[in-house]
Amino acid sequence: MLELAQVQSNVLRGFRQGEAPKFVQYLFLQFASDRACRALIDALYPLVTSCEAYDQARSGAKQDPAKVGPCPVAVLNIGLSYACLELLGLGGNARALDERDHEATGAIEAFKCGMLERAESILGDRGPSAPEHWESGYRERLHAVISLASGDRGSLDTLRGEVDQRLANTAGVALVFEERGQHFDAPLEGKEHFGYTDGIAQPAVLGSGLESFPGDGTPGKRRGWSPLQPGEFVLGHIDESGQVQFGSQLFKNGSFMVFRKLAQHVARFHEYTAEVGRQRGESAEFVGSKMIGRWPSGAPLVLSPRKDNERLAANPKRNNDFRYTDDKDGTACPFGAHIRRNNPRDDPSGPLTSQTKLHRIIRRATPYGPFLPAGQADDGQDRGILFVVINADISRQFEFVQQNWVDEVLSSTHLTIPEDRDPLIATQTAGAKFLIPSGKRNEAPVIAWKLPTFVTTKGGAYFLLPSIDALYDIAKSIEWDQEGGECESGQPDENGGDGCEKSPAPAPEPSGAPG
Amino acid sequence: MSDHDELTPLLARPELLLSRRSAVVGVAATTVLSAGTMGCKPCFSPVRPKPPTTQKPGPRTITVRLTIREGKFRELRALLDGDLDPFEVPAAGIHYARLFTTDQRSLFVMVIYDRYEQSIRMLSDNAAGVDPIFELCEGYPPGGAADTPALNQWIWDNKICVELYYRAYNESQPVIRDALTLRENFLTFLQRSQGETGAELRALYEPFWNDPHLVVMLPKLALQRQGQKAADLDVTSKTLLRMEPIVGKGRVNPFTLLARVKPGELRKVQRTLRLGTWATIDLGLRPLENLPTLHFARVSIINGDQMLFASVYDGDFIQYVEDFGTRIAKEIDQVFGACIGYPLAGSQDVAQFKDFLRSHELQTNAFGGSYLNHTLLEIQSSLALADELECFRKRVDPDDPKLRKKLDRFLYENQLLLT
Repeated sequence: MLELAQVQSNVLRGFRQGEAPKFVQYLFLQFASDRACRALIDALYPLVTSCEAYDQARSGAKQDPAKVGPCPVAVLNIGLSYACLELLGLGGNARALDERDHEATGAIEAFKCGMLERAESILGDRGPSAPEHWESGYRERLHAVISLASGDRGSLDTLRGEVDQRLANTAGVALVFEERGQHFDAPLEGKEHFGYTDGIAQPAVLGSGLESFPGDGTPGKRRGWSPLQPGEFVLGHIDESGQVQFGSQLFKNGSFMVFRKLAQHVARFHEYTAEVGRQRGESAEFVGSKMIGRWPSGAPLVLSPRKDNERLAANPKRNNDFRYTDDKDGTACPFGAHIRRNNPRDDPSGPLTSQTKLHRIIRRATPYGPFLPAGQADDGQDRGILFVVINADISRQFEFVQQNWVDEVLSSTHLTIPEDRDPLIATQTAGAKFLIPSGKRNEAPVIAWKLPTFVTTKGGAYFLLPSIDALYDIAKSIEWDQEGGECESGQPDENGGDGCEKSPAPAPEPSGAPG
Repeated sequence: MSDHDELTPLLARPELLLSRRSAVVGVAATTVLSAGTMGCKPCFSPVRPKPPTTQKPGPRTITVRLTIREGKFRELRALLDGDLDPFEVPAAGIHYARLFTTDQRSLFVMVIYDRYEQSIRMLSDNAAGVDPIFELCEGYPPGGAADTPALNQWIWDNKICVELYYRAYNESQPVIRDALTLRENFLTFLQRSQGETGAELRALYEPFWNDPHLVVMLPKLALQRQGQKAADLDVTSKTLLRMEPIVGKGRVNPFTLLARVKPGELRKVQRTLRLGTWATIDLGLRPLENLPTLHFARVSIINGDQMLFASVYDGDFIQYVEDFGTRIAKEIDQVFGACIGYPLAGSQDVAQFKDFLRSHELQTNAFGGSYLNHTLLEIQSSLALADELECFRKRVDPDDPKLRKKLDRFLYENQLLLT
């Protein structure tokens, strides 16, 4: 079982379909000095929500912790960039990033470099997505992100007021910019700008205390699904390759967070899918669904190849319970479809399941900007999603998926033309196309030529989400044991006896309780 | 049931009695059929067939170990790290070539070629590039690479034994080049002919039908499809080989590894490497076929106890390592397991295995190839499509009234070769 009181709530809570918080704010900060950083973390520490506090708030609101439900309270989480760790004297050759933390595999390397440096070479952010076109804030040396999320606006505003007050009271802290996202109202609940339900297939994590749905984990040899090891998402725990990485106090029970602001070109998407559909007498919805792999309601094409099925989509136990062995030739869900590329499951033409399970990510996407219905002309407004990925090894999980499956064609041996990237989120080249295999005998496949780019990257950064204890230690300038991570609670250490003994403060008060 | 029982109705058919040959074929076919129904393999002779002694066509390899002259190592490294491109002049029939050093006295040259003469030809054509490098090695002919017979002798004298050679395809370089171009152009043809019927379709199909390799068809559009500059499109121009020092990460990458074999394990490894190869190095290690990103692999034993592994693979290194660890974990453990420093848990421990490979990796100083922008799957799929298209072209001519229908059917049957 994971130490849920130690793990920040945005690592393992509130990401599944139906429980995403409706309102989200991300505040990006810079610190003038390490003292300012420590002072701010000290000030915000009581507000930081752990997974346990989140569960308590839910049971207080009479919600069964195992069941899916919306976020009942406003939560606050803190992420620190590598620049911030350096500022604190924890970066570089400091012992916190010692050799045992597996520098060689690149886990730390990605975090050290940051997204800006790796955008073009690894993440495939070229052309309009290239870093030189990013919003100016993301090209700064960001130190920290505070993420606020809540199911209702009132409690978020209260929490924001509290945060603003503490920001103002701490010298040397600058709020560089902020992002606000909001899920759409009732008929479009859970959908993103293209009109498709998002956030369905999420990895099931062993010991996370959440009910796992069929289809969420790794496909077993028979029809079952097994959850992923916690070390894939929480540092310092056993991972899928059977190892425990990141044993030191700074990292233990923490996680890495990838933030990306992705602009969506909605009118272009609707026009293009309609155009391709018109040529072959199909609907725009058909073409769009084939590109994504799910119908607008969220029903997977593998289970419902002919038409949308709202009842299937509404059932979380069924809407993800499918395998690609049932669709070997890609006639239901094309090999190049977005969901098939990004999670090939047990695709016989794809990587083996033992390989796929090393590259799973927890995703959460919150739309920003007004919704533009299909058929309307582009109104010039900026819209898209604020995309957050939780993983334990940025290079092995997020970057691998982005580099090899989205931007290259290594997710299936049937995909062989490197110009044909992920139809939905990749930056396309002039020759890009998307092929929809034909299921009807002797009928030619639909080929969507000259695929335009539908999603552009506007910025992003990598952050570490330290554990509740690590935040406390940073705030109080507590030095870790020289050996790094060997310090058990209750065992006095050389730094004054109580460094490690200090239990995490009582579950932080979730919301609406300004001090 | 004897053979004769089955043979009788066959012999009764007059068309089979036209010649003695067809009768023999009939007997043979019947034997196979009856053996098949009886559940045993057909066997015509108690003596097993001899292993083939002739070389199978396809890419072959040579590994040459050159001794660097005393005290010249720094000079050589400076040359290799500098702007000098040893393989600048294009050459025919070369798949990949690379140069690297293992220690201060050894320079290795590895070439994968269609015919041995072509590799010598490539070196002598590149005299300006390779002369400054080879001059730093012992025994280099005074006439330089331009003196082809002397160069040939020198290379031949210095070649070393290859314990294992694996190749993912048996086609020669021009065939692959043509297949890649063919698919490129066929896709362009499809794009232009989309929704067309009748005369328009016929007009578009005609140039394709006339020129099977479509080398001249719509080169501009092909360029656009690839999103490349004209100079980069080596497959349609006369430039057969673009050798270049590796700058950053390409689509196709070289990997070279040197690891010491544990004392006493050498014979076992050599046996494993040669096992199942029928004493020719052609057939190679079958398990490697399970790697969809591996073009070529070679293993040599040098200095008596060091294993030199060199491969050409596609894409990301992490992907490559994981393929080893998940697809052929057992086999790779058998071979690399004999090396000092190999992780105890074997290649399934991906992180440790990755560390092992990274720490024993050698820097490849110069690398070049004919299709650095094309992955193995792309090559294989293009070759398959080229075969299918050749049949289609023979079957359907531009005046066929059912051209659209037949084309649609062809696309349906081969839709997976177009993605």
